[in-house]
Amino acid sequence: MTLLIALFGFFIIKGLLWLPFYFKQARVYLLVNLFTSMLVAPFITLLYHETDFDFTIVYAGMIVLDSLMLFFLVQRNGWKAVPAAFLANTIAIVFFFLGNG
Amino acid sequence: MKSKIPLLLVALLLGQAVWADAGFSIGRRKAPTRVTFEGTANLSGYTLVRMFYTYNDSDWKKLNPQRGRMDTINDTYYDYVQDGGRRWEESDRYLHYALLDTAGKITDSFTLFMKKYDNHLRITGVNGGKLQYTIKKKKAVFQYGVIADDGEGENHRLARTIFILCSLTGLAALIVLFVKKRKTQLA
Repeated sequence: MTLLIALFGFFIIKGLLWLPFYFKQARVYLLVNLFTSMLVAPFITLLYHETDFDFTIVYAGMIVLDSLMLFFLVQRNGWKAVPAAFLANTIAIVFFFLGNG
Repeated sequence: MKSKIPLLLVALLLGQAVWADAGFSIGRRKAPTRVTFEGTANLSGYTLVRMFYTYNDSDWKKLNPQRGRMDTINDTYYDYVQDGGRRWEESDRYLHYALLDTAGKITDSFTLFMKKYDNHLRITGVNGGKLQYTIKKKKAVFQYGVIADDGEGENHRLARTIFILCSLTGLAALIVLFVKKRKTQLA
């Protein structure tokens, strides 16, 4: 999958799925979404193609990272951060696997 | 804290359910390997052909080489072996080559094992029906597309660097956000 498609895909998936959780903090969550997508999408592409790293750990790591980012940077509410991160990253990783084969 | 445990358990269970079908067991698309040729003009009347490819080195002896299935090798010819991905069955390959004389009789043959390394075969000549060649091996690199899929373009190293830079930029931006947030909280 190309970098632009991966980035746009991650950004749109997370942006849409986080909208119901953080509707009032749209500006901050979109910024966090953009930066986490920039960090994660190319990094996991490299991991996927160049290493034999277990993607179960990557998937869990993505959820933990997004949960922490949402908790500390957007709103200090674990009840929102964990499900939002779980939902978005589950769809994102399926999208990633579909794109990368 | 107690109230969060059921939520985490549900998340874990759902995660496992998704994991089962999310393609975690799909073979990964690794760097494809390529074999290229140079110096086919030195074959002096002989013809170099790729007979077939197999998954197992010993399989080829069972096969009957047919002229129609052979690919004639010249300097622009290359074989490309894609590893992993949905076409995982094309993982490592044995490529079998043969040298034919003018009558079409096989005078020499050799096998190349293709996995992880690109091979460049430099043909120096033919001596008594035997092919004289040297092989250069180079680590195969995955060709990342940046803006569009560019097939077998030579910019994969640049593309890979852009992937790394993009990831580092994201990390730096998140750190900046953290620092800014901390400063606002302190102020």
